[in-house]
Amino acid sequence: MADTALSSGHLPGALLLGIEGAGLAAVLLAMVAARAVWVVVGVGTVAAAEGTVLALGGPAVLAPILGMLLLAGAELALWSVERARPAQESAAVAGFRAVRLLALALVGGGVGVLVLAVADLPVTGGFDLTALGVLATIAILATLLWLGRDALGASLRRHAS
Amino acid sequence: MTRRPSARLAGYAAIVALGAYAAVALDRVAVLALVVPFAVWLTLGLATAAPPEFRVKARLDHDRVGEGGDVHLETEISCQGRVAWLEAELELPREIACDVLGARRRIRPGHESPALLEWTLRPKRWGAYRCGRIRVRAQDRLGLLVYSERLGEPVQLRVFPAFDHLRRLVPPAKTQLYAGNRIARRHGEGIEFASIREFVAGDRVRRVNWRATARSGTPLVNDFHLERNADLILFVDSFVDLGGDEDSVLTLAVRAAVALADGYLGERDRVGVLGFGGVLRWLLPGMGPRHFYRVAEALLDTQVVTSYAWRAIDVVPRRVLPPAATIVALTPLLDPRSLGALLDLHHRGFEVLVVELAPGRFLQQPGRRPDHLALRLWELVRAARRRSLQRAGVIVVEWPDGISLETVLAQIREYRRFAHRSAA
Repeated sequence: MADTALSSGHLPGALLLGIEGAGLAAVLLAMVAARAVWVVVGVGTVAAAEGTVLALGGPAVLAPILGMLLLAGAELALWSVERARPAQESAAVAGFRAVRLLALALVGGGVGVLVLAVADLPVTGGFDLTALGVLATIAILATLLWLGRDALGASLRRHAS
Repeated sequence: MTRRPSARLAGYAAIVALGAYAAVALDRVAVLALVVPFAVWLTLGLATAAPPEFRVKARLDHDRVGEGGDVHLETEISCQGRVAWLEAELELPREIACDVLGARRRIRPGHESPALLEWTLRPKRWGAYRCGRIRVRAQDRLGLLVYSERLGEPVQLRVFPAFDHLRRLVPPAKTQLYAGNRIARRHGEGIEFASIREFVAGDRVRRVNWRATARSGTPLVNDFHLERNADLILFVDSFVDLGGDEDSVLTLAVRAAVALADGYLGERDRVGVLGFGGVLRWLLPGMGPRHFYRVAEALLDTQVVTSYAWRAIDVVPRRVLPPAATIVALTPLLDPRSLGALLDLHHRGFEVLVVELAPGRFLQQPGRRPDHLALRLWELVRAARRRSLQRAGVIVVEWPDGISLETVLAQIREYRRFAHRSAA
């Protein structure tokens, strides 16, 4: 991706490569030092660099694959960090992790492709699209409220008492 | 139970939020597609997360074990709820080793039946320990929330000191009235020949020595030594301890005390314990195999306790120090209060045998050079204490590194024989 952007001459390539390298170095360092936060920071840095490439004209088709790879990389690094705590681990745990990672990466990639496909639909503005956007916003807000229902309920109970 | 978000939750949420914002701001849907896998992970993870409920039961196959022996702990962990895996960490004192790496196990708990985990524990030092509490950590199915809880009732494990069986002991100077294996100086019923004397009314005919009678012309009878037991009090000095967890002055003292108790109880003697330190503790003299376990259990609680409520040897009940008892003191001679107590006991007429546990070997620490002047002064103070005991007539034998207790007891026997010969 970075090479493609470099060849198109849209951005200083050395800077991009430097940012990606720093992100990868942070992930490696996190694995050595067993610090999960650094893994996330490193993956986030790489994602930011790749996002910049995509925003500046990188091939959009590769975005879901890149997202899958980033997720897989992050999960493998976090797996390594969690295994740094000495413990006797049963084989079932490793199996579950592998299946979970594979399944979620594939689902995530599939949804990414779907997002790209929907975005490519030749739809212009109008009342229907605006209504769909409003509904989507409401759905997202409802989803967020539902996901955070436990924390919200606890906060409300604290205020009531 | 405590619940906290993992680094994954905060990190993925930040990546998704930034990606979505960048996608909207730059009008590039490809940026959104890049972070969609993270968004899917977050959504599914939070949707399926629910706090689990754990139950833990622990039981030991033996609640008493010797040092270095194995004991099996079985834990039953049940989990109600959906978790990715469960990490069970056994909380153990430093003195107990576990065969499982880091005393932690990561498992996939079943929904139906509880998980049975077996741990093999190996105590490295005697003592009374509480173990069996488990710290459970679990992640929800997608690892976004971490739940942790300490569970399980602790179970008591008593670790008896390891000791060598002593083949020869130091015979106590005076015997008691109870029957035992020690040959008393007094004559009476027994099997050990003592002397020949003239027949007196009441002597049994079977005790007549016919050959001696025939030679002398007057009836003579054989006389025998009484066979009696003795009272032994184990004086354990617990004012100061030097050394590490596995090997220290106190550890050595307790192992020696248990070995002595085993030896003397085997000879049908009565053995009592006097723990002399910040806390004064005692066990009345008793005999028999069951009393050995009483002695061992009494010694398990021996530890250095700092107390300002000083209690001298005067408060010890009379029954703990029966008349004519022999006192074997195990002390490093590091505290003047022990010295005073031992001199006090000696002046009361008890036979006091001091085994001086040489603490020098416990001073060597890797990476630290001893201050030779301070060490020499310290040795001089100890030597002065030793001399003051010896001047009073107390037998003091040093127990250096690399020498068995059997050898130390042999030295006491020799010392005593030499002292008797010198007195004669």
